[in-house]
Amino acid sequence: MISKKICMVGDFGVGKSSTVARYVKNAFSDKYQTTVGVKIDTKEVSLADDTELKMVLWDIAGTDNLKQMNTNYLRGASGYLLVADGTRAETLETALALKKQIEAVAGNIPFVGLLNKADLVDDWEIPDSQYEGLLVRSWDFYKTSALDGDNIERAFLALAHKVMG
Amino acid sequence: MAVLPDHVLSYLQENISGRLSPACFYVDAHGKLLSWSGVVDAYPLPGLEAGRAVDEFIPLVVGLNEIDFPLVFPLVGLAEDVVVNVHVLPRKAGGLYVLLLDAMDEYNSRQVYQQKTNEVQLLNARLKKVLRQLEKTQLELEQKRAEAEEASRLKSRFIAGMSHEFRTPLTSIMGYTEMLQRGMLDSSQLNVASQSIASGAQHLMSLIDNILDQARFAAGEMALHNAPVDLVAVVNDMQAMFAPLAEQKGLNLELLSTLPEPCWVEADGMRLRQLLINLCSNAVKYTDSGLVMLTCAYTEGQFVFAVKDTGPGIAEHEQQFIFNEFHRIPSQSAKSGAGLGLAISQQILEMMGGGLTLQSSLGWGAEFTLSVPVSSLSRRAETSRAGTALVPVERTVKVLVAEDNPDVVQLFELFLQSAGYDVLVAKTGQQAVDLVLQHVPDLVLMDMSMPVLDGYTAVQQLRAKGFDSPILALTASPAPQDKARALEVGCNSYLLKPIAMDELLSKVSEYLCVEAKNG
Repeated sequence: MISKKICMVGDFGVGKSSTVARYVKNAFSDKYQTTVGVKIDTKEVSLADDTELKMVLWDIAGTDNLKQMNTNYLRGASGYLLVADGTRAETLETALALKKQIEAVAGNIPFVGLLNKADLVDDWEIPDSQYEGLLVRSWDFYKTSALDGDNIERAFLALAHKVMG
Repeated sequence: MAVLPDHVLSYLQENISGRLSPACFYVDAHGKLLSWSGVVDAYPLPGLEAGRAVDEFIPLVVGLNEIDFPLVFPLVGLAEDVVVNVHVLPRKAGGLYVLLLDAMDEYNSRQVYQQKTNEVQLLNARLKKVLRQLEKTQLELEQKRAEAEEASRLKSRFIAGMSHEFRTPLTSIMGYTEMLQRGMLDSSQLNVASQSIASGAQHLMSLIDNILDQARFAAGEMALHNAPVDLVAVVNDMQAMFAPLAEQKGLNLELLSTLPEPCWVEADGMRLRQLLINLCSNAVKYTDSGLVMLTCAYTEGQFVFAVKDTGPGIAEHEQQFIFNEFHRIPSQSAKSGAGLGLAISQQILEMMGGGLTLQSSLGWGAEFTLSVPVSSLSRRAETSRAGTALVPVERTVKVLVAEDNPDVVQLFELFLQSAGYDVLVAKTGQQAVDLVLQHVPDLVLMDMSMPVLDGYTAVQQLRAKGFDSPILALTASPAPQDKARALEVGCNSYLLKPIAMDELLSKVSEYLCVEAKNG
């Protein structure tokens, strides 16, 4: 089995840990629990070509700037999930800024973007035009919900295929 | 640097080992676990076995195969309640040392602080969002208040304007009426008085029509009713209608038409006339000397009608406002008008799929051009009976007028008697039913809004009792639904008040199939 390191990156409170919990344990808690440092989980997946992949998920504490984070956490990563909260437009700006910083530290490794909390329709702040603008740049961005699981599996699988080249 | 004394080193080693539970793993260059030492049991490492790939039980080393210098990973959560500081060091022989040091105490103290900090920041973000929404709502409310104030201002201005517009013609109507009542006018003055009263009444009617049209547009109830129309007749009517007023003002009114004669098209004739009347009326009203030129053409499905005048013209900065409802050009506000004509015209043209343009500059007159798509008709439409010449009735024909307003009753009685009809009068719906059943008139004029029994119910009862002569509804409501209701209960046709004598007699004779006397 092939093992790959995947990092979860994004501002605090965007739902990175909830996304991992939904993907790995199919569980969700609406109680906010801050991540300190990094939390490691694993998930084994079978890809379309029958490749068995173990994803080692590094759920890194939320930050709006890599300078406040130990960049060693990114060392050896094969890809990352860039997570933003669709109900806080500024977290998407943060995510895009983090992407640039990651590229400076780790190079152009594969990523998939998540606009999380898609279940909170009334509070949604990312206009469709902005979302479409992300897709136009050939970036994989998914509207996800850790609460009801929408698009979570799909986003992780998309990244799995990307890191396997 | 001097070496620490043995007993100090021993003390430190004991304390570190006791507090940090160090566990060290030796990994070869292929990622296989060679051996381990320290407090390994402190960590959940199921299947720990020399010779196996180290990432099977310490997955955090994935991707760290080759390093040249020590790396530290602080506060790494391996499982529930297991948080370690991880040190990864290169081995001289190739491979790695992985050192785990328990960091649960540090994690717990930092987690509490970080949790509080993040919660406060999230609350602040939510608060900002609520404040933004409040500001947005406040702005919307202010905008709505400004709109309401503007609407109120326009309404006040409109009421003030209407008061003037209504009072002016009423002054001449009431004044001449009083003189007529007192018998103060000789035969030549009678002619002037009747013309003045008729013109004042016509002006009031036009104001009411404009106000009602505007209300219909506001309520989204305006609809077009297409029928065959002869454009030649329409434009000739304009010339005939405005020639007397132009002559009175000393203006030349000219018509230049390239329409084929006749020019039958499918259009809403009433609205088309209204558009042309609005343009011609403005041109004649605002031009004090010179010329008003009407030109019209029909090409490729478009009817184009232009009105050019030698009036005062419209300044460029005013041109963007003149199609707004209630707008009056300040320098021309002494002229009568409600400021609705052009607004209504534009709205009607929009419904018709046409357009209205203006070319003008101050002091150089104005030219309004309307174009409207209309389909040409190859067949000639049936001529309306409205223009049929009226001649005296040759037998006694009974007409019942059911109307609660005594003045209207008296007027209709005069109209009908002057045409030779025998007139019966009912003041309520019930009276109308009783009189009709008793006298069986040849035709009934039924006001639809009457006390005791309204016209709709009266007509229903009459039809139910077998009365099958024509019944013409009289109403002051132009609403299409009222017309439909009148026809539904059994009326043959519908007359909207005010009704001119010619119109009334023409309609009556049409339904009686007799030729009535034109008083």
